[in-house]
Amino acid sequence: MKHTQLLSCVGIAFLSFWCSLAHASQSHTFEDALKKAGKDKAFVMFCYGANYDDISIKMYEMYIKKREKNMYRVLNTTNYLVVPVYQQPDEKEKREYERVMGKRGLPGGVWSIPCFAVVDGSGNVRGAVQAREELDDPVKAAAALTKLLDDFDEQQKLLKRAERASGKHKEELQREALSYTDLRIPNHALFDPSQNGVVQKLQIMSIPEANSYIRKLLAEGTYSPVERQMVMAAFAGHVRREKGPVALLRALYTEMRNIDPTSTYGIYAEGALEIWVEPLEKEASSDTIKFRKKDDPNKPAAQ
Amino acid sequence: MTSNLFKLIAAVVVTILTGFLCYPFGEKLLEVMHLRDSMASRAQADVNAARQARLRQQEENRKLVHSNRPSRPRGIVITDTAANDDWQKGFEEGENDVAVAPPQDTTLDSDDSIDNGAERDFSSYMLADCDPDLVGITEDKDAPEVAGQSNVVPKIPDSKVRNSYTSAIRKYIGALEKDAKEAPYTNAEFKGTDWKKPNELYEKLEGRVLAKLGQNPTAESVMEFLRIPENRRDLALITLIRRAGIKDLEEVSGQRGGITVLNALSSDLGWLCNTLYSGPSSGLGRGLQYMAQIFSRYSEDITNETARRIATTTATEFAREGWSQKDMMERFSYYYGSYREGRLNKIFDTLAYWETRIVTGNNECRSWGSPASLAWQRDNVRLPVEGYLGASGQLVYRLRNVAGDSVFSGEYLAPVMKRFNNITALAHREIGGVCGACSHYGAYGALAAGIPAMTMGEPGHCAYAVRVGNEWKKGYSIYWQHGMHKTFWGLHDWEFLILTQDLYSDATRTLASDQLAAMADFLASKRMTKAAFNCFDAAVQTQPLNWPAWLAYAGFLKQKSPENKERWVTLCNDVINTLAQKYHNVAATFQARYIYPNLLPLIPDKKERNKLFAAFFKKCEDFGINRWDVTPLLNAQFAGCKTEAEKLDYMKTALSILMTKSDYSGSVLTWGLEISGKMGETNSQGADRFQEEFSKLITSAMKRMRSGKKDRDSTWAGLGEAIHTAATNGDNYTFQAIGNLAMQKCKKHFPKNRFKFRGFSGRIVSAKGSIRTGVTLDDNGLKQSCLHWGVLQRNGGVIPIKFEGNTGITVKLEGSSDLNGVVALFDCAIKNDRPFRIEASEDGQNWEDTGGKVEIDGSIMRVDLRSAQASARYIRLLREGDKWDTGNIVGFYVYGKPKKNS
Repeated sequence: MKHTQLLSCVGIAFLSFWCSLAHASQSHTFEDALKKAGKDKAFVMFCYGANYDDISIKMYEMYIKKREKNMYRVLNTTNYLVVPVYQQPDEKEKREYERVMGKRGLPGGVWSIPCFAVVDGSGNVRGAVQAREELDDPVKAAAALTKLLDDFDEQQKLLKRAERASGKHKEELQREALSYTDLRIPNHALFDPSQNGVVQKLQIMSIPEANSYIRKLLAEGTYSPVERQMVMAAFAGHVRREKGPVALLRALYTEMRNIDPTSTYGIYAEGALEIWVEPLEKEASSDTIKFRKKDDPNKPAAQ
Repeated sequence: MTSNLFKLIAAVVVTILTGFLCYPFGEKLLEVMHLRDSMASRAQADVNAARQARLRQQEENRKLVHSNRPSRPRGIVITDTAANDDWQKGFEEGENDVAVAPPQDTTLDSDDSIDNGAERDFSSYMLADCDPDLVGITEDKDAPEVAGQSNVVPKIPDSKVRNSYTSAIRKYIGALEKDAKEAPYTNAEFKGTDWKKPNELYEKLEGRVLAKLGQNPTAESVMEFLRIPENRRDLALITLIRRAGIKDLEEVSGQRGGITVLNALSSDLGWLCNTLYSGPSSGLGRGLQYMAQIFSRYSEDITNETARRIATTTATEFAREGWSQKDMMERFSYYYGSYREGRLNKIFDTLAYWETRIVTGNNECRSWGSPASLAWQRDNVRLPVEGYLGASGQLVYRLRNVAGDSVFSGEYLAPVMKRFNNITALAHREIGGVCGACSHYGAYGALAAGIPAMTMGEPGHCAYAVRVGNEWKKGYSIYWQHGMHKTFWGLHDWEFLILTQDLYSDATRTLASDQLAAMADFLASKRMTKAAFNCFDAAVQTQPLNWPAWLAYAGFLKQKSPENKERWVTLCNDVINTLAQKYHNVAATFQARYIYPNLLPLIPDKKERNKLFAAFFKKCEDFGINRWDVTPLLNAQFAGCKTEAEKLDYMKTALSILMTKSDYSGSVLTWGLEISGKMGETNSQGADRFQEEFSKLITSAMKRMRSGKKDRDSTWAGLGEAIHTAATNGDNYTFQAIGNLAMQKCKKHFPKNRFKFRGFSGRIVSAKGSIRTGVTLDDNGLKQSCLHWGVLQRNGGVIPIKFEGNTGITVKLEGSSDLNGVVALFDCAIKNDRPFRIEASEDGQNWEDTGGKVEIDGSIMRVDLRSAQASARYIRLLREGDKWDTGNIVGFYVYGKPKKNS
C-alpha cells in the first residue's frame, strides 16, 4: 500500500511540476504580475480591445488563444498578463476588467491597442510593441518583444550599477541606460535642447561662440546617442539660421546622421542634408563655375 | 484495503484535477512538453536571429542613407500609402498651428466650376443653406394665385390650434415610428428615362401632391398626408429636385453611374430621407454627381447599406464644403476600405448619417485628414473612445523644435515630412508640436477610427472634442469659449454642437419636423402662403430644436409679412418658451440676429421692448449648457434704443435683472464698461454726460452684486472680469472702484502680505492707477483679476507675468508724474539672464527707454529713475530676448511726484 501511496504522491508531484512549469509564465492579475516581476524583472502585458475592435480580437485569437508559435515562445519564457480593455463598459465588463487590473487604469505609455507592453515591477510601461507593421507579422512582433525584454534587462543592469556609482561615472551609466531609445525610464528625462535653454542660449551667440559652447557641452557632459543628436540639431539649426558655412552644416548633419541613421534625428539629419545643405552646395558650385568661366573662359569647369 | 484503494483513487482524482486546474491543455501536454525541451535554445536562436536581422537592417539603412534614399525609423511604422510628391506644399498647408477657425480646403479641380443655373430657380431654398441674412422662398413663376391662400398670413395660432397640432403630430410621429420598425419603403416607380427629364418628373410629382392636399391644406391635413409612405417619398423627391436643381440633375443622369444612383435613391425612402434630412444640403447637385462617381467605381456595393452611408455623407459634405472630387474619392476609399478591413472602431458601424457626416467630412484633406495620415493614426493610435481625449499627450509640447525652429515656420517639420511619407501625425509625434498639433492628433486619432470628433479654437489655444456615447467631451481644453471647427449651420459655439446632437438624437421627431418644413417650402413656392405658414409653425412645434426650420420660418415671415408685429412677437415668444428653456445661447443668437432687427423697429414703446427682453432673461437663471457670450444679445437690444434716455432706461433694466444672476453679472458689467469706454471715445458733450450717468449706473449696479457666502465666489469672478476690462480700457476710475468694492465684498480673497524692501523718495503714484499684463488670461485667470488691483496696494496681490518683446507689465499712473523709481516684487527668483528695462510714455502709444538702473536681489527688483529724470503717465516693465512667463508679480510700486494740473 505504501508503494501505491508513494506512486500517487510522485504522480501528483510530477504532474503538478510540469503543469506549473508550463503555465508559470501567465499571471491573472496585475498585482500578481507585479509581485512575480519583483524589483528587477519585467512582465509583458497584452492589452486588447475586447468589445470594440475587430483587430484586437483577431490578435487575441492569434497570439493568446491559439498561441501563435513565435510569440508563444517569447511569452513562455517570461511573465505575462492579458488585459481586456473595454469601451464604455457595462457592469459585467467593468467587473471583468477589475478582475485583472483592480481599480487601476491602464498604465501610461500604452498608446495603441492591441499591444504587448513591457512593464517593470513598479507598474511603469517601459516599452511596447504596438505598431501595426509589427503586430500584423508574428515573427516581427516576437522579435521586437524579445528585443525589448533583452534591452530591459541590460538597461536594468546599468541602472542598478548607476545606483551604486557616484559622480561622473553614475551619470555615464545613466546616459548609457538612456541609449535604449525604445525604452522609457521613469523620472529620467532626455536632455532636450529646446526645453532646457540650449536653443535660447545659442540665439545670442556668434557661430564660433556657439561652436565652442556646443563642443564644450558635448565634451563635458555625458549624453546618450539621441541626446547628442538633439544637441547637434540645435547647433546646426543655429548655423543654418545665421547663414553659417555650408561645410560646417554638412559636417554637423552628417555626424548627427551617422550616430544612428534609423533614429528620428538620424532621419531628420538626412532630410536636412537633402533640403538645406545640398541646394546651398549646388548654388555654391554653380557660382564657382560661373566665376571660373568668367575668370578663364578657356578653362573647362570642374565638376 | 478498501481505504487504501479509496486513497489511491482519491490521489488519481486529485492528480487529474490538479493537472486540469493548473493547465487546461489536455491532449497538447506532450506537444508542449516537447516544445519546452527545445524552447530555451530556440528562443535564444530567435533572439540571435532578430539581433542579426536588426544589424543587417541597420547596415542596409546606413547604406540607404548614404545613398540619399529615404529610410524608416526603428519603432515607427509608416503605412504604405503612395507618397505625395507635392509634400512640401502639403506640409505648408497642413501646419497651421494656431487657434483660429480651421483652414478650409476649398481646392476645386479645374473642371469643377459650380454652375447653379437651372430652368427652375430653386437657388434661394432656405433649408439648404442657413444664410445669416434671412432669404425668402422663390415662388414658381407659373404658380397661379390660390384663393384664400396666396399672400394670406394666417392668424396667430392660439393654444386651441396648437392643441389640435399636438394630436396630429402624435399620430404622424406614431406612423413614422411604425414604418421604421417595418421593412423600409421601396418603390421603383421612376426609371432612368424619368431622370433624363427631371423637369417633367417634378411637374408630375407636384401635380400629384397638390391634388392630394386639396385647395386649402391645413397643418393637420398635411400631417395626415405625410403619414403615408408613398406621399413622403413624393415630397422627398420634390425636395431632392428643388435642392439639387434641374440642371445638375440632368448632368447627374448623363454621367456614368448617375442613373443607377438616382434610381436606387428614388426607390428607397430611407436612403432618400437620410440624404435630405441629415444636415444641410447646399450643393446637393454636386453631391449627387460625387455619389454617381463613387458608385460608378464601386457599382457592386450600391446595395450595401454602409457603402451607401459612407458614400452619401462623404459626397454631400465634400459638395457642401466645395472640396475637390479627387479628395472626396480618397476620403471615401479610406473609410470604406477601412470599414471592409474591420479596422474602424465598432462605433462607426452604428453611426447615423448625420454623425457619419462629421466623420467623413472632417476638414484638412491634405494634412491631418489626408488618407496617409488617417491610415497611420488608425493603425498606430487605436484606443477605446474615451482614450482619444488623452491622446494629445502623446506629443511633446515644443514651441521650438530641438533645432530651434518655430512651430509657425515651415522648417519645423520640413526635414522629416518626405521621409515620413507626408504623414502629418507621425511627423508631429516624433518632432513635437504645440496646442494645435496636440489637439489635431487627438481629434484625428478618433476620426481615423470612425468616431465623431473635431478640433476647436479657444482664445490663444486649440482644443478638441470627442463624442463619447451621446455626449460630447472636451479634450485639452482650458477655456469656456470654443469655436467648433466643424459645424452644420456655420455657428461655431459649443451650444450649437450640443443642439445638433440633441436634434438628431431625437430622430423621428426631427424627421417629421424636417418633412413639414420641406412641405412648407414647397407650398410657399406654389403661392400657398397660408398653408406654408401653418406648416412652418407645425414644424417648429413638432421639433423646437430644429434650428434650420426656425430660420426658414423667420425668413418666410420677413418675406411675406415683414411688418406683422404680432407674428414677430409670437415667433419671439415661441423661441423663448421652447428653445430658450435649455439652449440660452441658441435662443439668444436667433433673437439677436433674426428677430430683433425686424421686430424692434415695430415696437416704439420702450416699456414693451424691455418687457420682451426681460421675458428672455427670466429663462436664463444660469449659463445653461455652457458659458456663452451675452454681449451680441445685449448689443442687439441696445441697438434698438434710439435716444440716450432710452439707452439708459434699457441699461437699467438689463443691469437690474442680470446683476442679480451670478453667472451673468460679470459679463453684463464688462459689456457695460465696454459701452462706456466707447462712449468716452466720442468726446462729445452729450457723450460725456451719458458716460457719467452710465458710470453711476454701473457703480450702483455693482453694489447689487450678491456677496453672501454662497455668492461670494461668483461675485469675485464677476468683478474680476469687469476689472480686467477696466484695465484694458485704461479706465483708472472704474479699475479703482471695482478694486475697492472687491476688497469690501471679498476681503478674504486678498493676501495680507507685509513686504520688506527699500523704496524711493516721493509718494507711490501707482496706487490709484491701473495695471495690466501681457498674459492671455484663461477662465480661471480672469476670475482672479481683482488681485491685479492688489498688486498696486500695500498688502499686495498677484498678477501673472509674460515678458516677450514689447509684452510685459504696463501701469497707468494716477496722472502724469516725475518718476523717482520702481520696485517690483516677484513671487519667484527673478530670471536675470537677460536685461530688464523700464519704458515711459505720456500717451500709452509712444514709448521711450528711461535708462533706469536695474538692481535685482532674489525676487526683488529696484529700478532707480532718479538720474533718468523721467516723467510719464504710463510706464512698462520689459525684458529683452526670449519669453519668460513663469511666475507672478505680487507688488508693483512706482515712486514719484504727480505733476500739477495733470
